[in-house]
Amino acid sequence: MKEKRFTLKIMDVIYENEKTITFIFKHKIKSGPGQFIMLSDLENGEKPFSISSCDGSSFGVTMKIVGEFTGKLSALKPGDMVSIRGPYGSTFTIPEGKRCLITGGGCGVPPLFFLAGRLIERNNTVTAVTGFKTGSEAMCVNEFEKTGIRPVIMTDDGSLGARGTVLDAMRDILKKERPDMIYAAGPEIMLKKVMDASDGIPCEILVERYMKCAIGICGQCAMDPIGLRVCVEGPVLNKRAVGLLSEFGAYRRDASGAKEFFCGATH
Amino acid sequence: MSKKLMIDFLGYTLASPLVLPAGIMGISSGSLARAANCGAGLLTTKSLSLKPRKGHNNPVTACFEGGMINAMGLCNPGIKEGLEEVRDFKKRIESPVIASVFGTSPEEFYELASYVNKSKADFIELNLSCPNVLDEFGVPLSASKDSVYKIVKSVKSVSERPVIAKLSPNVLSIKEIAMAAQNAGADALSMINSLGPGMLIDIKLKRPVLANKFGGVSGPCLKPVAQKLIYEASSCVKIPIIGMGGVISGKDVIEIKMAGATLAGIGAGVFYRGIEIFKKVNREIVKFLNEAGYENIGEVKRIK
Ligand SMILES: Cc1cc2nc3c(=O)[nH]c(=O)nc-3n(C[C@H](O)[C@H](O)[C@H](O)COP(=O)(O)OP(=O)(O)OC[C@H]3O[C@@H](n4cnc5c(N)ncnc54)[C@H](O)[C@@H]3O)c2cc1C
Ligand SMILES: Cc1cc2nc3c(=O)[nH]c(=O)nc-3n(C[C@H](O)[C@H](O)[C@H](O)COP(=O)(O)O)c2cc1C
Ligand code: FES
Repeated sequence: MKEKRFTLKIMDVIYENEKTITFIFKHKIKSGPGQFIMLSDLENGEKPFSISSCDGSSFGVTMKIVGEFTGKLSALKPGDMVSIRGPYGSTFTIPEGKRCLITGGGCGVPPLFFLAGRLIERNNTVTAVTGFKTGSEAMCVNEFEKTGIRPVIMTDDGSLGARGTVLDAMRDILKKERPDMIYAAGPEIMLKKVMDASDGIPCEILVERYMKCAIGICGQCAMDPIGLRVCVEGPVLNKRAVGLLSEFGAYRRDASGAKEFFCGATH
Repeated sequence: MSKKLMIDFLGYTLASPLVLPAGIMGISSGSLARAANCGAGLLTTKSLSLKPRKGHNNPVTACFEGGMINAMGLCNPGIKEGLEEVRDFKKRIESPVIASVFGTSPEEFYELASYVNKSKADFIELNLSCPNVLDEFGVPLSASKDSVYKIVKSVKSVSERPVIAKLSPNVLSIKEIAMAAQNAGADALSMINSLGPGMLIDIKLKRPVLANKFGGVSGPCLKPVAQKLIYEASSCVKIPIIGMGGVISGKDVIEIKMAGATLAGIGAGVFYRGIEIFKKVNREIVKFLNEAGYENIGEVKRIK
């Protein structure tokens, strides 16, 4: 196996909202929705980001500015260079001619936008639900509409779309129709609830864990009790895999490897 | 697993001569279980210290043609939590476990060994490749025969587990260091730790690839160095050696055993051939044994 590493110029920076930016790179990569890259400026760190678009000649990643590293990245301009490794990890399954329900919360939404495009290419009908804390944090709304999908938008405060959670919208939809497949990305508590509410429908989710090597050797992202490595066998997991993970929805590990237990619910 | 792979090591009979070395996969009980189920006969925890450590900033790994460099920075959740992972592992799987520990002085190593005494770990391994805080130039403990002797002696005075000293390749005379460890009472050696450290540079960004700039070298390029050092060390000590450094195939295992090792660790190989590497290499060993007419892996001895 060889490491896939490139040093690339940022071709375009798109400001999705106050706290979210997209970098576009003119570089051909072979990737499926759900996969991620490790992105670094070789100065302030290196972190995982899901691929949010990918066509024959370019790809993009969309990031929420949350802390020190993403804060530094937000100052980068077109023409600046970054180091990229990947794509890594597993991809969402793309069926043909099925009814698909996509559910995303916060920064889980961008990879689902990439997924939606691939689903439509294969003649699937797509319903999308996206949830955000507040309207000013919404992302990918226009992008979804360009693909012909009108996302149901939910916000905690009702400032955009309907007030409520992704789960509220999903339960309403499941009362009216039964999709063949459910996809989810977002905070883990939300993912757990989507799984629990999916009622026998096949379901795939995108799990996040702290990452270091991203090549399956350091064990940082391994989930108990089977040592599933999110950077290799994940981040996209199906119901069967999640069923084997006692750690899912319960805890994750910090940079030292110590357990951090999830508290309460979001979205 | 084939009976031909069974091998004795310090009073234990292992199902395979393959070892998961320190720092590879072994942060959690789940990871250890995965490596055991994939065919490793002996598992090592990540190196544990008295206090938790977050390790160096990302990027912490980078690959090149001959191998990889890493500067994980000895991240670990601390000896207490680390040994809880061993306990959780042992509830489900019986394979023997080595607790790898590191400190900066004989006193710290002594304290770490007392924790291991109270744990489910079967062996204690001393990672000696840390800078010596008492040395004004930060020379690693592993580079001084006196430091190695003092630390092993201190641990032996308290440890109720067999003691394995993990040696660094970055020394002037490996024979001197190996003898010091044996004379202080070490029950086995583990060698080699990563080489260097080394450095890789991104020529477009004009920056070092690792945040820490430097990182220890592992992988295939280490093999000739590891074999030479194991060959030298085994010429002057009687204690068994866990050999590692660039092992990625069954043939490499035979080679490192012919250099003088009893068991063989596979670290970077997990990247090159996937976590299933343990299964694959076990199969390759059996194939070699059959073809070359050996009854079992124990018959493969050090060459002259
Ligand atoms: C597979 C995967 C895909 C991701 N995709 C996206 C994406 O498309 N868009 C997006 O905005 N974010 C994504 N993230 C999360 C993103 O990596 C973090 O938001 C980012 O690392 C925050 O860094 P920071 O220094 O700005 O913030 P910090 O303040 O350092 O961290 C904020 C939070 O980010 C997470 N985090 C920090 N470092 C890491 C790391 N090395 N690995 C994993 N998580 C970390 C932790 O939960 C932490 O609490 C993804 C994470 C994973 C694991
Ligand atoms: C990512 C990584 C982390 C490591 N962490 C440790 C560690 O914590 N303690 C230790 O004694 N050795 C550590 N090592 C060294 C390995 O245990 C092993 O000695 C070395 O990599 C040589 O074997 P290899 O070529 O098969 O990888 C680490 C190596 C790698 C690649
Ligand atoms: S991040 Fe190192 S194994 Fe996944």
